[in-house]
Amino acid sequence: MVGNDSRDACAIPSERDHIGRIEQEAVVDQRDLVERARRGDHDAFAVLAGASVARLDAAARLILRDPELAHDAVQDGFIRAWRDLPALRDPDRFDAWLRRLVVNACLDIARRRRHRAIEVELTPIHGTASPDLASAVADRDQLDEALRRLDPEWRAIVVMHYFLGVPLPEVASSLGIPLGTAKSRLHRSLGAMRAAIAPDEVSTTSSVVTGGQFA
Amino acid sequence: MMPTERFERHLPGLLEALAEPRTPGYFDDLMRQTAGTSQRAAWTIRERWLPMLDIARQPVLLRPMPWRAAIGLALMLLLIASAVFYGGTHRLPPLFGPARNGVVVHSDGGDLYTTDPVSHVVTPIVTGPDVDLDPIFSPDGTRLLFERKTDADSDQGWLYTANADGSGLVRVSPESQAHLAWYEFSSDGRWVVSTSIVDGFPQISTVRTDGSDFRTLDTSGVFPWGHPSFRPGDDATLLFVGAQGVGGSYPGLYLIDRDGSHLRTLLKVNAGADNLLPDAVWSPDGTRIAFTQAERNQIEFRVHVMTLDAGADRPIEDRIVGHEMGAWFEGWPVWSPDGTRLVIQRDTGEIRDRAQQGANLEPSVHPSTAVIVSVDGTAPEVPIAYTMGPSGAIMSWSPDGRSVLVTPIDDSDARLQQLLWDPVTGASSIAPWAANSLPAWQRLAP
Repeated sequence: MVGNDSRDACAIPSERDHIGRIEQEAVVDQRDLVERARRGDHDAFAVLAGASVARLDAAARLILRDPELAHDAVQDGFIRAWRDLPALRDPDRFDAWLRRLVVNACLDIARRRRHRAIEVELTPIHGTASPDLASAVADRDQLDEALRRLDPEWRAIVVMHYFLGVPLPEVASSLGIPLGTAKSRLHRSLGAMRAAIAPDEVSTTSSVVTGGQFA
Repeated sequence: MMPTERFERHLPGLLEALAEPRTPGYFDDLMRQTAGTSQRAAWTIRERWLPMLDIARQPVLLRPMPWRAAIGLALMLLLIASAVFYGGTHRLPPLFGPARNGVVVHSDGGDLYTTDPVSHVVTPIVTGPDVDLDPIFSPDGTRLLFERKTDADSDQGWLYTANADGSGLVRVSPESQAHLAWYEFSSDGRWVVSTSIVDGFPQISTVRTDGSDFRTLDTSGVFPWGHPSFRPGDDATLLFVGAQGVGGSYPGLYLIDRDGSHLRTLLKVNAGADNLLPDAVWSPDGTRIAFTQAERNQIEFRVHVMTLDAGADRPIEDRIVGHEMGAWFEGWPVWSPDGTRLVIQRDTGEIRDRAQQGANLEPSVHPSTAVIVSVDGTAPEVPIAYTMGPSGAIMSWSPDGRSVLVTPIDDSDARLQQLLWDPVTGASSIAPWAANSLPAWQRLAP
């Protein structure tokens, strides 16, 4: 007789089976969760939200550079996601859709606060020249300041592509800009960030950003 | 190794270290907030609606003009009339009131077709490898406006005009526009207004139909949320539903000049509530605006008709039209060509009190119906014998006002076979042509 007592030899296979079932169940059928959430199952939505909130909150903090504003953006995006979920046409696009809502909420807040484009200064933040770029950038404050100097919309491109791992065509689509514009802004953002962090490491040869490592 | 490549390779990890992703402490509060928020019925959400317009283009109301100009115009019209009589030139429809029904234009499989609603003859007019979508006619019935994509799944499209027979294609978008959400002709057919996403935000753009003078309007932080439209008879003025938030929050009704200047507010609703639908439409003569606004409880929606002071663009009256007791949702008004009636969508489900969940109200969602209502309330309303799904339908009057052409939308947001509704009897029938494109009917001279 199968039981829960691990000392019971007969229970071991059942316990394994039980664990296996849990794992299988734990492999979330996201589509099913989205369908349920669309029909008003908030518990299903909470599971979906819990799986993505950490990265989206982090992305919002990177874009807005202010934890309170990031909180507002994530809150706005998630509330809108729950409220408008019946409008989501393709359940398989839930992650991309939620991401777009949060990023657009970030840009909405940034725009209302009129954090407009700051002309990137190529003056280095710190004068340290180091052959090891990683070491030079190890200072979080340097990267933080380099990001802060970017226009929020440019920052969003960097964060979506390099932090959230979104392919550049989808970044362009999410932000409603042509792919060429996204590439151009990404290239210029990277150049500006490199120049600000470690000017001695900046190559004089311009390089074209292709698809990025996540393309 | 190029520094560029090293920096890019390290950047994901650097951002990770900077951001330190973790479930934020406010997550539980956030879930309590969302749990206390009602989900919206699908048809009340803008994104469910492809933003095509009512194509019963309303004629222009002529303004008074100086005598000399009037005489000159009369002479010119006489010459034109002579040319028409002797040269067989196509006569244009009247500038005001109902017109004769022409052909219906629609898209299918990436090509454009016209269908004669009488003979049911289908004629391909624009074909080819590109994906051509959602054509509409100019008010005088002589030109078409449509979106062209190179890939059906792409978000980028270009606006094109063509003659009614599909000849004479002219690209009017100087470059591709992302998420083209709306476009229409001015009443004189010389301008096009469109809504698309620019730098992540919805924007209004205007352009001449020859493709010149394209400009994106600066709406001063008010995001267009819904379709902008030229005021009939005054193609220098645009109406749009705007919102302070990208998703439609803090909405209002606004006017703006075609060149992007002189933004003025017609209606500002309470902040923090999405209680205007993106459906504001001019009456045929440009003196009134029909729109949908939520009531104080922000659950029930009503159709409003606002009358403007002709000289000052100032509202002088705003009243609810077509309300039936017990209906929680009434919206998406579409004017008849003579401006005396509206076809609206209505849902008579109950409002439940979610007191146990925090006193939020929510409606019971039922399939909705459509009804023809008289604007002045003097004529009895005519219910349409058709039940729509939660996503509703796109409705448009025929130019002669004797039919309403409808494209229903199912739960998966797919368009269904077009229908014809009789606004006098309420009868509903399947349109005798195969089309599920958005309704677009040509206006012709009687």
